[in-house]
Amino acid sequence: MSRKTKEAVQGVIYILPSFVLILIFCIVPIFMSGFFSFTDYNIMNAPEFVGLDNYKKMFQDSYVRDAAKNTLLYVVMTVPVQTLLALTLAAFLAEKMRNKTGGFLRSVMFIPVIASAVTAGTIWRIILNTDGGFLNNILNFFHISSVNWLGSTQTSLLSICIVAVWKNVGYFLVIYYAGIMGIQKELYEAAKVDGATSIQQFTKITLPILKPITYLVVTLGIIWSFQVFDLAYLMTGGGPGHSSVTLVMGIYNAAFKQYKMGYACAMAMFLLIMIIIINVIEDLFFKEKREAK
Amino acid sequence: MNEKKQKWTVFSILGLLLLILFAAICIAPFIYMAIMSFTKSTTLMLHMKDINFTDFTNFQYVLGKSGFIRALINSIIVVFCSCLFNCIIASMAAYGFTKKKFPGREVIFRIYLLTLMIPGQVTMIPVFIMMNKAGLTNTYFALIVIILNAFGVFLIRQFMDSVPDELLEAAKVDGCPEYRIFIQIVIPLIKPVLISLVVFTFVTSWNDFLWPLVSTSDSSMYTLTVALSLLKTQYQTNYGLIMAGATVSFLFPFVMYVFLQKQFVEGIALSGIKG
Amino acid sequence: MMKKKVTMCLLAATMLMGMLSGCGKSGSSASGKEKLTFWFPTFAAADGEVTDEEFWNEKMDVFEEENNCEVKVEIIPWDNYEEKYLTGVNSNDSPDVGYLYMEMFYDYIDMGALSDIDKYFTDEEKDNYLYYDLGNIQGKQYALPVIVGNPRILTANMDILKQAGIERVPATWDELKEACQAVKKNVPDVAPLMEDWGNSHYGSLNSIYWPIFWGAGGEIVDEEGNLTIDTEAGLEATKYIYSLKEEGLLPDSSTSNDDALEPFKNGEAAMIFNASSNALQVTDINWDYSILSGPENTKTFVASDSLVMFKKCENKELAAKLMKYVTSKDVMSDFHTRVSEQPPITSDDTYTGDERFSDLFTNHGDEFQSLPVFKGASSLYDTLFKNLQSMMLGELTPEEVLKNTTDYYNTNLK
Repeated sequence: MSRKTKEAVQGVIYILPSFVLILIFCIVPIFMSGFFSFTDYNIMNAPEFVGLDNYKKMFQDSYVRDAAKNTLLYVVMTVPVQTLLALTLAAFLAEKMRNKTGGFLRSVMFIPVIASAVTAGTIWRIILNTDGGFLNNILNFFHISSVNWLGSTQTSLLSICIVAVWKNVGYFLVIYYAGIMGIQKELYEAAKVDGATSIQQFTKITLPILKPITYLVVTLGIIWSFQVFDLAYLMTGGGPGHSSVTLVMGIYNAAFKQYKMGYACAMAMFLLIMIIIINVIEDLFFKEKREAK
Repeated sequence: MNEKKQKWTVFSILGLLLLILFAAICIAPFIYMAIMSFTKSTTLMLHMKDINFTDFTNFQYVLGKSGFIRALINSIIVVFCSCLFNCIIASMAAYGFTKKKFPGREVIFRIYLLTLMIPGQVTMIPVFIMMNKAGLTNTYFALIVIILNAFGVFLIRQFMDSVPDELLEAAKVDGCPEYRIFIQIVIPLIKPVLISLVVFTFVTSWNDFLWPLVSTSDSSMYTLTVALSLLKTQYQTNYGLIMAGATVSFLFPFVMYVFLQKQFVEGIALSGIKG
Repeated sequence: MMKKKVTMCLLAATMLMGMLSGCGKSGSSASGKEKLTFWFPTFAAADGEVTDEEFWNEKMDVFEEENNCEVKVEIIPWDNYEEKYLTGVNSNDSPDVGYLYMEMFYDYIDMGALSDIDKYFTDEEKDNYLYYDLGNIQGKQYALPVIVGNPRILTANMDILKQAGIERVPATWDELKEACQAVKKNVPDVAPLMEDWGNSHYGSLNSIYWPIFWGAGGEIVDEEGNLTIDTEAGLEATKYIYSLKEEGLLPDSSTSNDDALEPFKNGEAAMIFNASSNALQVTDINWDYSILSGPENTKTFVASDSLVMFKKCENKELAAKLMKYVTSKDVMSDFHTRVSEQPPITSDDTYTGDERFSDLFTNHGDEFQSLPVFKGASSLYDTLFKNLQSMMLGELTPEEVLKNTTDYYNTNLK
């Protein structure tokens, strides 16, 4: 056996277990959903082929339109903020606080990640309450008038974004921290000898090395943000009006409240295509930067 | 790194203050949750007069509820197995994807990534249909296998670059068998990221509610989240009790995280990554 | 050699998984007895004397003895209740006897999942049930109402009303407005009325919209199942609600409130619409209640949840027996005392709950109305509630709310 073939066989063996699982529990269901999206399927009776009906209907549905708009807006608002915040905090912790205090702060910032969405949503509803909510009490203390956080069309989506960032930052912070800790210290020492400031060290050494991790954080951030559901469902239920409905909420309602599995799957396919397009754009962006370097 | 050598500029003090502020925002809601669990409130607003820190009855009800211990054991089994299998399977795959060349590598990895993009609400019904046809509902298998997905592969792959190819080559030249290269060289090097995968898998699996609810119909198979959801009744809700349940359920992953975090730091100190 | 080891590891892993799945499987008993599955949601207060599971298992022991059968009880949490039923029905793993609420009926009937139970009941038995007719849906008896209660009422803080010079709880639309104005004038630091328009779930409609809507003479759907909210009566009701907000009788914070009981308990709101059982949680305040009469009708929402028999049930006779047993006077009165206080559902049972509601349940039964069964009900309620929220924020007019909701229903939900 040539070396190349041997390596290929080894590679296949390494990925085989995961491939089998992903094939059965992810790929097959995706194809099934794809098939259902062309049918009228109420889950109890056999699916009935209806061609593109679900898709046609979907593009005329004002709920789907608003949901798509809100979902995109949500992604645009949360992903950059949580990525930057996680990176800054991780860099600061790694630079200045590789000690017990730093460890403690890291633990504390990870707490929101551990809590279930139900717990987080419930508690934040109280904090964001217009009357007597914790946040408005603080605003009032600084003589700023109360904000109707969850009850107004201008701020309901924003409030969900804030909570989402709060909940996600801790996790991405840990990933970044692991990445920064992996950077060889000699690089920094050499830079110091050359007289680089800490900001220069950060932009010239840390950032480029962390690029695969940034790619990971951004990609996961985008994928998860597109799937926003739990928090929005618990905190506003999509209201007031359609101001905080999201695509997955639409999918959920269609499947489990209206028993229209076909329609839900069509929406899911639409969501999938949207995520793929954004992912391709993201790839181009990351590739370009790599070449420019 | 020695702390004393560091320069504390105005800039970094400002950073520290921000850090502490953010940390406070992170922890405050949970302090609220913990305090709430010492009340008997039927609404979610906290009133000073309701709080009684010596009154542990809410916790007693939660812990003493029939089926609680069983649900706790179920949750622990499910979480332990999913963390273990996820780490083994994902690190193998990530190693295969980065360090071994084989035809179709990039395409297959793309497909892996694609599977992360579809929301769980959509795949749940098809997966349920399959599980049910295979007679696997009401088993630990069904509860565990659903947690394993491409996320871990993606996560570890991005960290595999820190494993130097030269090291693997050198080991091979020395006649080290392939499986030992993987177990004795690669695994220790990616320990920090494995720990973050464990933490993540733990949290996902521990907090999962919808899948355990639909895939189990036998109350002896309920996980903790499902068992705790039975505390809620339709019209009258004792939020103190709900919050006591949430606090109990929250404590397990939290203690685990604090423990692993220590490991995490030591893992970095011991591994060759430091350079 | 390397490959062998990896394969070994894999094998070991698979075997371990297999073992785990094996030991997790519940053994089915081979006693040859008839078996029934019974699904019931949670009602017992978590700190009550029995849990739901204990209560029903205790009751089923008696039934099993009498009928030489086995009943498997499963208590279903309210969270994601519909998903649980949906996956159950889909996998033929649904219960023989289950518990559905009104919004769920249309789809299960449409799927052909439910049985008509009329033939299993004698006329005498039917007469004994107070709400048997509520279970008659689309001309067939698909449901046996089991929990009929929690009528929505207007609850008032009598001390505040007295301060404002009002002696009794308002009973008509005009009286409500007058009382609100009086409170606004005489007790300015109290909200005259509070409503939970900030709720994330459309369930609030049952307290703050449908009773008013029915009071104006509105009907949600006509006999053919067409949506009839965009009518003069509907508009009158919607405008009335809107005017409460416009005239400052309903505070701005109502658009974000998700629990009107809270300000009422604290004495910050003079009146609220709420479920009767919620009023009982208010202990420090001197309250009284009424059912508000509209210009046309006096109707208020009442929750009506029913037992159903699934078609896949093999022994329907036995399942019907189980339904009768569960709704019998003995089981129900025990359920009402030990698990959840609810009004009686049979005429041979007597009301044992709170004194103050004795009159309500004894004499006002004909003012209770439950929701109709029609296609896409829960999505319609969701859409309507969201549009009404926009109206309360001043972003839609009452006319637009009803028109938009009806249009959306006819194009997307029907």
